[in-house]
Amino acid sequence: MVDDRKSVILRCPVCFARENDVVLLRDGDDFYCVKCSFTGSETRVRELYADQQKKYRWRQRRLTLDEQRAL
Amino acid sequence: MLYLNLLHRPAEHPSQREAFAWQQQLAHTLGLKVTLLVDYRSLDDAATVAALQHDAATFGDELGLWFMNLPPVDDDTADADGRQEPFLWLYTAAEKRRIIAQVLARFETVFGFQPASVGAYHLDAESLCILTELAPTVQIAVAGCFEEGVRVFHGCNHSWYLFTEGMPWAPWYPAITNSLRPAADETDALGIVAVPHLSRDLALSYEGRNDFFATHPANVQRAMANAGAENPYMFNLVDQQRLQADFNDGFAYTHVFVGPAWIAGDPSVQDADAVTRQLYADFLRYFVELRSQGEAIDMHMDEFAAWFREHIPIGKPQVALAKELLYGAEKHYFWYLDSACRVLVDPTQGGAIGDLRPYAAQVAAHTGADADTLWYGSYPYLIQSQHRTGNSHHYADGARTTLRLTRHDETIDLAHVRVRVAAVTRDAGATIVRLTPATAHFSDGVAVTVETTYRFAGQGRIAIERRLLAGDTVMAEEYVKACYGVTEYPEDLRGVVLQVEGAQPGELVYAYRSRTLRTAAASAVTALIPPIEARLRLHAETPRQEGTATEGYLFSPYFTLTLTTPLHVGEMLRTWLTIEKA
Repeated sequence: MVDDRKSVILRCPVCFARENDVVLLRDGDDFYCVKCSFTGSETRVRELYADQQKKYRWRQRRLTLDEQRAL
Repeated sequence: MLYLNLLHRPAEHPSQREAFAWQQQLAHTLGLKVTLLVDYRSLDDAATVAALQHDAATFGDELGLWFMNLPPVDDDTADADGRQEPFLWLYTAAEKRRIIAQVLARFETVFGFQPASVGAYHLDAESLCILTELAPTVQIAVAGCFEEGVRVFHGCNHSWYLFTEGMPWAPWYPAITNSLRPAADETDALGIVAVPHLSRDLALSYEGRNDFFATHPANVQRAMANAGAENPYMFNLVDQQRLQADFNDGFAYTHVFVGPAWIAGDPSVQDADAVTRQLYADFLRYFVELRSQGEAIDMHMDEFAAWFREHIPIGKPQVALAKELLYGAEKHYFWYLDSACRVLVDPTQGGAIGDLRPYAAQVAAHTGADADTLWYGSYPYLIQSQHRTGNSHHYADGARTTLRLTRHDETIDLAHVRVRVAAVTRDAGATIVRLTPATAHFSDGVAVTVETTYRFAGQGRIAIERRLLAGDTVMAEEYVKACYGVTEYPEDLRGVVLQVEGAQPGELVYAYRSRTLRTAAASAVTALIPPIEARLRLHAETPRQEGTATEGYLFSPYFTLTLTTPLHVGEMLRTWLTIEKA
């Protein structure tokens, strides 16, 4: 889904929300986490990643040096 | 001016060679100076050595050593497969010496000289002493990762044993007994310059993982803080470093250090290689843009070491004003360090001290299997409000400072009032940080406004000034709650000595019994912490109405020092917080 690489590791979105990197394991079309009770498809994982990214309100905001001085 | 050290390290696997060559070509095309830190295994790879020698000869890249992929330990205790320890700082002193000697010898055989620049995620004082003894050519070392420890240990599934919290965020002169402590003077100094591994976000690496928020695009990708090839935070972070020139006589520093794995199909990177390469290219182009504007200088590490020695004297304080740039909180943090202490002021909690490291105690430490500290290289704290509770959120508060205002039996904690840094000024004698006024609203409608100023006077002396700008007379309680530690877990406080000086002087030895010493006409309240040989003292220029020193208990393992007195509108109270070697 991401690109043409042979493999992409997905991190558990629930553990990622706790700033913990835990690699999801695959079971058929779904993924599951061994550290918490998350299970879901890649689509679901990426939806939750997108939810996580909402915390970064300024993720797409450039703050120049002068703007930082004024901040 | 921003001083840039750009470091690359070669491919550890043949599949990454193209990626390394691409990184090198990118930097050379942009005309950026590159320091190549080479690991031991790569020194045995003919193709890698040939590529490095070519780039050194053609582009002038500096060649140095990176202490990874080490030679096997040659001793009787190693089992048939050899020791698995991946990092130099975790070996015994004898093993460190053997490894360093072997790596240096191999480097000299391959390149014909000894290096000026070396590095590892952590180089402890023991390793650096051996290194500089065996290779007097060494001038500069990548020696630690700012605020790497508890958070990254958790974040890497409790499997990354690198603890270097409590160190400087920018280049420093490492002390001979503890490489993460800035040296007090020439006799205390190891004789080289140290730089941090990457430049970390000065706000978010205190609040969270430092390996999410650093000057390596892969770190930001790991945090998912980029939006594909759009990554403004990366540039914002560089500008956060540039901002520090405003407070450090024009000096700012950024450290960029990347290997090739992250652009060579690393499956743990969420973005496609093409996106990742675009991120790195854009990142480096920003430095070229700054250089063309006369705002940045790229240097090899050895060049930077010479510049630093010439321009920055040992003991010069470093300060940083960090503004949060990703969550949009508009928070400020203020950092100060000199050879006596490192202090973090948290204006979002009314200007509380959120982190305090007693460098004056000169805690000697190195890491390794034969060291008391084992893997804990972190310089001990007296206050760490992230690891040790800080303001009360659950059971009771923990390590922190604050001012408590009491009026008609109602107390307001200034930690609940958000302020910001209003001004930072420096002169030969002090660094002065004035915060915006904090207004506390009492239930009867009276608003009391207090302005806080910190005056960092050096020698571990910090004046905390509270000026009552408006409102009504209050009882003002200067409050310091502390402990000591290196992780988020409590250490044994038994044996800590608490003292009060005043009309009823007293002393107790900490035994987790919840006792309080109390005196009228208090001049000082003190904690002596023998395990780290530190003394923390709160004292007043004129006696305060009351002073207390309170012992904690096992469910609240801290000690609390207070000085309390009436504060009238228009008056200013100055209280000294001092950090000394006990």
